[in-house]
Amino acid sequence: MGSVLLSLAVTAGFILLGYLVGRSRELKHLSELDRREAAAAGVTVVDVKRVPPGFSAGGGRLVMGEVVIATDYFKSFAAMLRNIVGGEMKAYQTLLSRARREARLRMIEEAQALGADLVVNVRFEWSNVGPKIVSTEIFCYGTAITSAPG
Amino acid sequence: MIIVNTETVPGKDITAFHGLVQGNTIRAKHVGRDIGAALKNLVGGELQAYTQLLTEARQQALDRMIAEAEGMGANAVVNVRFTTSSVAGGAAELYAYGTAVTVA
Repeated sequence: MGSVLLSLAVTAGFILLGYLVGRSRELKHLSELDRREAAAAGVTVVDVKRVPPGFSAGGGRLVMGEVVIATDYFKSFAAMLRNIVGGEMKAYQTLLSRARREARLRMIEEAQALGADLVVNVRFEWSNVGPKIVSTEIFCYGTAITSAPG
Repeated sequence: MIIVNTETVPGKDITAFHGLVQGNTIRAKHVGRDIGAALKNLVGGELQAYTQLLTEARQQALDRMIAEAEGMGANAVVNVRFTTSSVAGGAAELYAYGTAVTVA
């Protein structure tokens, strides 16, 4: 009886820790994303293969961004409950969208470092890291168009 | 060496095609990283060790692809694609491929 209560208490503690720390980290990341996206607003990002009209093309360079993001214990728990009743998993939806935004920003920041204001043919890839760890890898890549030849 | 994932190099003309070039690498994570990641699973957030591992591995796959293109006398690789697959034991394969061309 005592050991059952203890393990319940430990689980509840992990859930609370995941909720408090995970949530504050998520909010911090979201505000950081907003700030960096505002700074990256000058770069046009498209997933078409050609250079859109109005942009000069002197050359292209592959740019990439990737990130591995882990979920927190509270989200894992919420997802487990969600699995019983079905429906949208909000907890993981925000996790994946944060990971995509981060990967995309890293790619844009690489383009900005090259002096490019256009990235074409952008693709997203997803993969799972390890069976034991609930995390996701998002990889974003495209071709930065530079106006100077090179 | 110009590397792009578009079918042509914007602003340049392709004068010769040399064929498919590719590079891959298989990386294993070590136990320490897994333990760190398991702890991160409690509180969430970026697994920087994994991000770094994958970035390095992808760069190595690209470098091997570029070396093959250089061997063919190409000065650019177009239409580059990446794939990732997991191999038994938690190892990941990173694979990069594209078409080696000469541009002018």
